[in-house]
Amino acid sequence: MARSRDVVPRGALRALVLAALAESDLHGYALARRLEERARGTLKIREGSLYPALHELELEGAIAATWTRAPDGRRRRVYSLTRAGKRAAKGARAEWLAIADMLHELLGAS
Amino acid sequence: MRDDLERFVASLAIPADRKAIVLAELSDHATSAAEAAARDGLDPEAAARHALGNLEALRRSLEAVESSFRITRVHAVARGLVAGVLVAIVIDRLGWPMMGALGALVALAITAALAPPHALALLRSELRAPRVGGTVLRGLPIGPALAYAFTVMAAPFAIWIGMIVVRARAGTLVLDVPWSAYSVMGAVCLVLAVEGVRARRGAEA
Repeated sequence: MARSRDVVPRGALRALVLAALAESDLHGYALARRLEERARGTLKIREGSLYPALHELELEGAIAATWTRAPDGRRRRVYSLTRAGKRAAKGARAEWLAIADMLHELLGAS
Repeated sequence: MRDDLERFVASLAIPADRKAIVLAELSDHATSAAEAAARDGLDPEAAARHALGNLEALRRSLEAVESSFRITRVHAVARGLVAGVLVAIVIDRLGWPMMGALGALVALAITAALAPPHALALLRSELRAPRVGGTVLRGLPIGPALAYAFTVMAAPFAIWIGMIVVRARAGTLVLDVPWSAYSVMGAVCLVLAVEGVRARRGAEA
């Protein structure tokens, strides 16, 4: 059984966030759960790294945030990809898939 | 839980407007976790606390990132223009003492004093940004730190070129450019080159 990872490499987390937001706009909690569900228990997103990563991507112009309301009326910040972010998401996806392929080639046979 | 969160966010060394955003976002996160736990028959309060994880780790990460929100690109360009004008005046108008090392030091001091807060951290963050495709080439989106760097480099030369043209029209054709005029451009280019290489190496690692 795969072990749960509680540390995601910084660059990988950015790529995962961009990939998830490429599918739909999400708020922070939904984004974390989406990634964890997709990873089927092999990944634990730390909030200590998620929100700083989101804010850094926002600062870089890759994502934009808008305020909405949760069903109970509390304020909620929803993130979406910008045009630059869409390009960055494609680039990050290709880059990390290439890295995964390389690691599979290098480590997979042992 | 809400009180703890408010105390935690109030203690963060980040801009005041960002505290409101961080508090709203973390509150929503904790409440969402509590609601999910309640639906699953678990302890909502424990789930909310668990959802926020290690607050000290969160503090370090947030304080590193949030300080960059202190300044916009427009503010950075305005600071660059002010710095550039001051450098141009100091080197051109204050006579021979400003044409050598002293002038270079004063120009660099002005540039550093008017730079955006946490300019180096901001620059590093911008250099790590994903490349965006333009019509011809791919490149970095220009954030506040890069905007300041380019403005403070270009503004003095734009002013000096204007002054050369005005003086030439008045009949003065002698052109004497002190080496201190290149101090800001040289220093900024050096910082950009060093940090650019570091960012590239970091990305490759």
